[in-house]
Amino acid sequence: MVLSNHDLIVCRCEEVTLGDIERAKENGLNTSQEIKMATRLGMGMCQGKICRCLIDALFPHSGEELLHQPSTLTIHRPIRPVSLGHIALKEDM
Amino acid sequence: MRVKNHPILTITTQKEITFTFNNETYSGYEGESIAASLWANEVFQLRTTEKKSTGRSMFCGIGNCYDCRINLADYGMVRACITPVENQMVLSSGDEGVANDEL
Amino acid sequence: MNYDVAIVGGGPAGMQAAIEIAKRGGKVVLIDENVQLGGKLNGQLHEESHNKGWWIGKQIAQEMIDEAKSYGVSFLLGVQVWSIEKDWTLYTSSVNGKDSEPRRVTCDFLILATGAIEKGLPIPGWTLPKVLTVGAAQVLTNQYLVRPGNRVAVIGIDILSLSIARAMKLSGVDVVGIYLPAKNVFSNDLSEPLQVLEKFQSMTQHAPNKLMKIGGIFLKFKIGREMATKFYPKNGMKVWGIPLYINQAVQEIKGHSEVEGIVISRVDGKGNELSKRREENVDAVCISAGLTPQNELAVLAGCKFVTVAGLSGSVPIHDEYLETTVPTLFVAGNITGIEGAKVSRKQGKLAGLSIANKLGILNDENEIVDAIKEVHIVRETADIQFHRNVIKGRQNLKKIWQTNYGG
Repeated sequence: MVLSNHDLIVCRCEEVTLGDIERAKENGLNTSQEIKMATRLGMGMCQGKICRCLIDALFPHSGEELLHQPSTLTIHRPIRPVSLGHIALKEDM
Repeated sequence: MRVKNHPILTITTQKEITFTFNNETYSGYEGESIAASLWANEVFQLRTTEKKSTGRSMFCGIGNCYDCRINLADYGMVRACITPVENQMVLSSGDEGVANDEL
Repeated sequence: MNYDVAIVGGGPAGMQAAIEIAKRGGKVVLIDENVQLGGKLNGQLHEESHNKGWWIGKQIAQEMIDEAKSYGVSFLLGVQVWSIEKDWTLYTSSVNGKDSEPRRVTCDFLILATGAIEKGLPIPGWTLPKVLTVGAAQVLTNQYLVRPGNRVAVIGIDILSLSIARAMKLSGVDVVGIYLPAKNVFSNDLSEPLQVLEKFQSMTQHAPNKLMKIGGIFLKFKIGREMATKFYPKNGMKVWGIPLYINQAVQEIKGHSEVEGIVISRVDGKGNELSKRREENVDAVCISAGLTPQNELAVLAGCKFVTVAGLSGSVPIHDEYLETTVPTLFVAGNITGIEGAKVSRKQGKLAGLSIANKLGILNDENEIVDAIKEVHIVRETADIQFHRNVIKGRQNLKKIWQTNYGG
């Protein structure tokens, strides 16, 4: 049986499909960051490392030459999964 | 799955160790990645996904995708593709948090 | 612990930079989340052009590691940087249970040499166990000497996928074929035979001779291009004994709990399906969708980015000394644009010398001028080129810097 494109997984971590993205787009969302907020795409373990380029291809930047961030998917610290306990200890040197 | 002969690369002898994954014992070579050891033992699936319960194996091989995350006893989650296997390591499927700090 | 320089990323760029600074007396720490230094060098295995023999990345890496050690470079291995603060504090943690104590590293200069990540390329079934990126196949096959599968299909036709298909064959894998990916909203040019042939045409010295000969003949005339894909040999053209199907695409990867087969169809010059689908049994699949710079730390640091054709993604804009828009923050290697190990190494040297100069430990500033020249030379003669417009891309990057940040 051939899968329809709607079931195509785009975000592997959160198992977000192309259909999920299309539905979000139909609801008026049109940047990578908005799609992330609606579907959790990019919010999983890898924090968008694998899917960022995919969602950006669907919702490309509008033309600024010099970008503040390379993608509308914002990047926040911590950029790797660390426990809260670990973060709390950072001040304790 | 292990390469015994190679026309270009030298195959060096390595120290054999044993470890467990989900209570099954496997042998591997000290210092290779957990993912490589399991792959050589034809164990590919390392976990199932939280939402759709589908199996995942290693995917990117360099620590970016976290699909190969595996639980190391007395520590917590490690990425099988970048963590060297050690003698008597105890591994299991299933996320149990990032690391079990005593706090 | 405080250092003159911290370098994040222990691949060829990071290691060379560390060597240049340490040998002149600078205090350097090299941080990598892998326990083994070398980055992607460890998995590289390919034949160099002009009968230069085989490039065995593992050996090059070991030489560099020994050299770095001899100059007293400090190492933090199996350690990831999860946050940074200006001028500079790096927050680190162990990745594999070796040392759970939180750590902090401070330094005056920072080099980000974090390399590239592989892009995803969704195809139905791509999340099945035993679907790997070509990078993972490279690591398994060449670094750990474990075959990814017995009968393996490669999806994606580019320099890297051809190289890894060959490496797998050398290790005893039956590589059943190298195919295009299915046409969908993500694959675009990658799924179009004409685009793929065009790509190789302009990288003549980098592609296997046979592909070039046939592709080149067809691409000479516009009519020939259309004919190329229609009259392409049904059983594929063999490259290093591996069938290369420039006009067939994998539509789906099938299997229950792991890869069992692929579904293939013939496609026209634009990647549209032409024929009935057929199935091929395979037990593993490797996908090549291309590389893109790994730049999260540069974002946290506040660098400005630019997207330039030829560099394969958004890169932190930098001057000719590899300093970014954030003073004391330098970049080197694939984070500056995807090029390959030899160029990365020369960039590492340049960044290292630039910083050594700022530290007042570089005796002769001409060394920097020479290092800039060396990067250009290696770029132009490189065996592995990831994008045909990389030289133009670099020139554009330079122009953009000069326009916005002057000289």
